[in-house]
Amino acid sequence: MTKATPESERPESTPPDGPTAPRRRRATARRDASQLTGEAFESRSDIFSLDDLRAALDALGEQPGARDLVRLIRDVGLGSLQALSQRLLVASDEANVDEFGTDTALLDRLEPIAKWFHDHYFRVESRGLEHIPETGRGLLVANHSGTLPYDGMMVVTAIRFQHPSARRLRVLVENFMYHLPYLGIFMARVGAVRACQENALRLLQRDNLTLVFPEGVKGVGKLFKKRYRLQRFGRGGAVKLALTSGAPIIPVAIVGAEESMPLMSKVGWLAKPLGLPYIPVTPTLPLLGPLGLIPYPTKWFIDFAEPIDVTQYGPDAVNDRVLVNRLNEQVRATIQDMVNQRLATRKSVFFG
Amino acid sequence: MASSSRYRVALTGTRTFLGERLIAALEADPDCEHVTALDIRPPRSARTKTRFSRLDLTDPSSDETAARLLVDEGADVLVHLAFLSKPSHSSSWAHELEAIGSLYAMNAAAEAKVGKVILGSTTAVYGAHPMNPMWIEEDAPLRGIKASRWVMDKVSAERELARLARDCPDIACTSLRFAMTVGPTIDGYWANTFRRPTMTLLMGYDPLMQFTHEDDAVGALLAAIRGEQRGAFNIAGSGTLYLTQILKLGAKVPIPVPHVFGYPLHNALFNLQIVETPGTFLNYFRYAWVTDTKRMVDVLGFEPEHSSKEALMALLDASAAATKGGGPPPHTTGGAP
Repeated sequence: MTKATPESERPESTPPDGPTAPRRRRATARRDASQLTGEAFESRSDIFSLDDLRAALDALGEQPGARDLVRLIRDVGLGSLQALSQRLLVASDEANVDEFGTDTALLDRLEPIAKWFHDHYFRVESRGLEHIPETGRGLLVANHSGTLPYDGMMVVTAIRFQHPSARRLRVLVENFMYHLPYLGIFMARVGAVRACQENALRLLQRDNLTLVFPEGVKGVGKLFKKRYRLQRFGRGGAVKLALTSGAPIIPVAIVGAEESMPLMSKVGWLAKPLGLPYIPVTPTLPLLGPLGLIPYPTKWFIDFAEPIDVTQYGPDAVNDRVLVNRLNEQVRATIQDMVNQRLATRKSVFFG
Repeated sequence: MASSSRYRVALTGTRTFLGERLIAALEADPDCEHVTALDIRPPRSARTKTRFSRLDLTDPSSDETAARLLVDEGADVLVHLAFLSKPSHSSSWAHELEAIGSLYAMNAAAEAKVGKVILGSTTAVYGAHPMNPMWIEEDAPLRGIKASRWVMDKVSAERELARLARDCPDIACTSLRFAMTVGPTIDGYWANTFRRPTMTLLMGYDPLMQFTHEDDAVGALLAAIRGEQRGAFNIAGSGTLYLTQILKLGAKVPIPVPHVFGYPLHNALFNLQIVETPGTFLNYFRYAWVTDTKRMVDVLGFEPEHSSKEALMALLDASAAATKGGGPPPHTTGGAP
């Protein structure tokens, strides 16, 4: 078919001219496919009529048999994981989903599990919880470790169940983590937000308590021999956030997470096709299959330091590169000190 | 000008869904004095105020024709709606109409010195990208989806409008970026996608989605015609829905596809002209492209009547009724509201 003007291509679709012309009779058209041609602007195919095919496919989809066939493929074939995840992850009611996609109904169901890990598995001991504000914004900055982000989960649980306000923390997560299949869905449901300035600022401006790991992948992905040596704190993004939003920075030191999943080695070549930054090798991870994802029951300590108030510098200070870097280094040093103090008094990795 | 009590409006793309509905609304609006309808075919919803003039925006001299018509009919406002609501495989024709046609429309507006230009755009111009912020604001870059001409032509139109705003500061340029527009009667790519009984699902991904009700789209256009605003506005109902929630609400049969296969498969189907969108278009079902509507409320002063969920439910209910009862087809175009 040659390219024609819309008028000449579908003469039958041109109604009798004039605004008062009667509407064409359409009662016979059960499916709308033939109507798709009725508009001035429509999809057009140069090879065959797309609309006929669409109509045929739609009609097929409506057959009960076809529906069952598709269900069968879904449930038996590729889709069994999908079916499972749907059962687990479909938000029960959209009223429970907030503007960042967190499903509070799901959180209510999962929090007891996290609490069990907090109380009985890692036996988390928190100090300095009084530094967390009861209301209003706050930016928690923590060291990151332990191959998988169980550390974030424990900080969230500690504040939820140990702090009098029982606040729910929002956690900023690494880009790759947020977009991993299934894991990303799960993280978004339980309160994780992709780490970027816009998202973080929005969270803080709405007076959320926000947890950030400025070390990022460098932190979780550092080898066991480098444990408790804090990596570079990004490019000072966390400090800039605090300056812009006026939120106090609360340094958080987590001890115990490093040994819960000691990272022996990283495999890079296999990771790339899977969209991961690396494939972790721990004493148990590839060896025991999925069981290797279970962390070891180490004793954890979480220390919250006094808030660092940055409002004195004003929001314009974000452009003061030297100040941003100095504050950034100050926060890092505070956390490193707290970690070192804990390590000095800790007698056993498993019993504290 | 809109500040005076009565205004004269010129519309391109009057045979599009929004064009027809907007004419019907303007016919009923006592403040509207006159409507100049510009398209290749006359609008069906025209009554007494509307005067139709044939204008083919793919014609290289259409800018002069349009400018003359705008001056002759004394239009204060040009509403540019001549866009494809569905992707087309005739991509060069579509490009002429949407991207170049917008250039001609903006040329005409500059030549005729209209007071205001309003572009009916879409939030798809931001594109669905992994690095998108959760709530996209109007000053975000318009990255679109590179392989999709349907989206990129709208990005071009946005650029033409931005150029007009820069070159002619006297013209108040407004772009209304509608989220996926759905409703009981609208005929468009997004609405038809959500009318189908089956839906492709990229395994392991579940983006949040946002909708505009068809009535709210018309309402926003009317608000922009009357208002004094400038710049771009995201137009969407409040709230968001997860894609899996949509499947549940609409009792859709999901067809799960791993994303590594989904893209090449979709691309192959696109090259065979079986689907209208290229592989990377699947990003719209993988990453969130939800927009922030604060400016719509604060600056445009427009509050949609329907939330995202209500808009989607209006579509799902209407299509369910049509399939069951054999009643009127789900999308009857044009006509009275």
